[in-house]
Amino acid sequence: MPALRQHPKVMGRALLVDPNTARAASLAQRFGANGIAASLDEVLDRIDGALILTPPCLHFSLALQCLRQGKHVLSEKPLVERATEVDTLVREAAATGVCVAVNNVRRLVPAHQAVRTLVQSGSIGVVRRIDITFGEPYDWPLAGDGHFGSRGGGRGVLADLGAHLLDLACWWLGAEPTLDTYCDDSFGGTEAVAHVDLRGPQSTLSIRLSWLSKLSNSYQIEGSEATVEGSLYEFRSFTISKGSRTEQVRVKGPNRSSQYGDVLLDNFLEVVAGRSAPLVSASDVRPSIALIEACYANRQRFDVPWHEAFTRLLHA
Amino acid sequence: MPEQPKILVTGAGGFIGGRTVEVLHAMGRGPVLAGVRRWSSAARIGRFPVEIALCDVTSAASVRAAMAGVRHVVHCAVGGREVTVEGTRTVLEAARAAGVQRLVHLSTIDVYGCDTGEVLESQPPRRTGAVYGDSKIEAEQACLAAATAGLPLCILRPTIVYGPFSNLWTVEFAQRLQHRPWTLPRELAAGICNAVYVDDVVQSILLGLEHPAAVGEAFNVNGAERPTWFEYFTALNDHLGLPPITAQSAAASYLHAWATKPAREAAKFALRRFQPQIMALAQRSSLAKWSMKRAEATLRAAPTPGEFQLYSCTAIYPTTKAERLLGYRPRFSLADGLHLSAAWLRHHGFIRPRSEHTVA
Repeated sequence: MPALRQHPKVMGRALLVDPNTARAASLAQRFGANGIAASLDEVLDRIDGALILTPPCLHFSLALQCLRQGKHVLSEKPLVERATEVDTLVREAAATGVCVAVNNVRRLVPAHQAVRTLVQSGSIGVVRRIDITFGEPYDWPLAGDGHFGSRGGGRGVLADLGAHLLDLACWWLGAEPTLDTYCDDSFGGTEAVAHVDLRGPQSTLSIRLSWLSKLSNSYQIEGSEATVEGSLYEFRSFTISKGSRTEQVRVKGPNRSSQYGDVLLDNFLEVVAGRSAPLVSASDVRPSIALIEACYANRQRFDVPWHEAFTRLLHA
Repeated sequence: MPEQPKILVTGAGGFIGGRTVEVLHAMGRGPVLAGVRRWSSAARIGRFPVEIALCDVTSAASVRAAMAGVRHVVHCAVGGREVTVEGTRTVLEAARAAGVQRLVHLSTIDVYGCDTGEVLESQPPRRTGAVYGDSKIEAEQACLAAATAGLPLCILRPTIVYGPFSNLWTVEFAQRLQHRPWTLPRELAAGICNAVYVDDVVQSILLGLEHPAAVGEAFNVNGAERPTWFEYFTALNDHLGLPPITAQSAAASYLHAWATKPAREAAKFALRRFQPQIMALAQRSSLAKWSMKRAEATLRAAPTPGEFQLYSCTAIYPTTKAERLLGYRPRFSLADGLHLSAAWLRHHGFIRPRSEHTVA
């Protein structure tokens, strides 16, 4: 909403859809939206495009509904839960001549783009290993209970942070790695810590995610000629090491994460106006959606002795 | 078919409340309703297929709504006075109105306000001017009034609760041990560390919920051993596989604490008043970010003058009453608890791999 507010004319025509109409009305007033509705059905014939910002399990059905009515879509990540759903959306969009854009905003970060160029150009040699670690205590100001436990659909930090970072890994590598192992800490609810191990053509990839603790929040790409390292919070710099020499690489671009949201939204408005293609499209994120699907299909639980210790209390 | 009565745990997004939800669920002790103040604090308990409800104890309507269909309550929510005192009154009132059959109130040994000696439950609470302890005294008084009015409840007074997800007594110490220099020498940490592993506190909660003799009573909840604080730090250090502790002298430690006091207070003031500006500066300037991290590391390593008082207390809190009336018996030795804590700390990335440890 704050990003959309940068475009008063668009905001003045925006309709907020939420079954909680009281909340929608309050937000509409606060941000200057044009009106509200309790369901998508009520507004489909009055819109040119839709921003889908619901819990992830609803993304597919809502996007499909929009596309079939010839409305452009910008979806929050993860776009959908299954690779076949990506295919369906791509097919439907093509049939009605509209586009699906996705908020995989890390692809817009200049440092990440420069890293991709280095990797793809062969400047660091053959990629041997990619390590990505990202974790922060969960603090997103949620308005509802659809994210955790029984109502979270069993999809937690992997679907949330992993949707960005698995996409980043696939994009850097320029290939779709295969799943080696996937472990998390779900006991039937939404996982809060996840470890993903993947295998690329000549490389191994390790992705560590947490909603519970602050991790190093960094990446390292080890090539046969050089190693690239960076912080996931540094949008304009990273380091490249060759032998004993380490060089800091600086690139230009916005430095606040919200600015990339603005870029993506600007792009979507151009898409709706028919003047541009999406910066990140549904097809772009298909490899990471397929990997996340494979992870959940093959999930194993970590060894968690600190949890199992409760059995000592059974006879207490 | 009528729904099975639930167990409501307030403060389920926190350390003890979170573990209570996990154990109640894992032991199949009936449907558990995890009460959280904000949805975003449910990431830990959301790993389990339990029902989560908004239960902001500062809102009577929120508590009343959460209390529907609840038979047992474990009241773990804690915060400032508004939460700890007024929030407890709100929970008690809602529990009484809902016909709750047992309520367990999590209090603290801080209600005694003691530094020395053997402290039994018969000792009257004493105000010290500390917000936490004094608020817990008021909350206990509200509980006793509710008990007199017919609400079946008991009060638990845990000691130093450590274990997985404990920021105060586990994560913070582990990180300080990892980032040397270690600034607390043996002679300044010779007081008694009344450490109790979190699952033993949960054991006392289970007994408090179920045992007939618990009603109307208050109980100390402590571990079985009485290490000094320095022994506790050393044992945690060993379980983490860190290099042996070589502490500063007492004089250097005092100097460190008092020298960093103004900087600590200035940093707190600055963060309170200018946090958005400081965060923006850190984002814009690598040098500013590096400097802030260095300052944070220095302040984190330094003890506060108030810590010296805590680490010199020699009071002990026997659990003979809980043992006699409830059959409480600590199931986790200090070694057991620290072993599990260290495994958790490593798994969650709080501790670097052994090969990366350095000693400054």
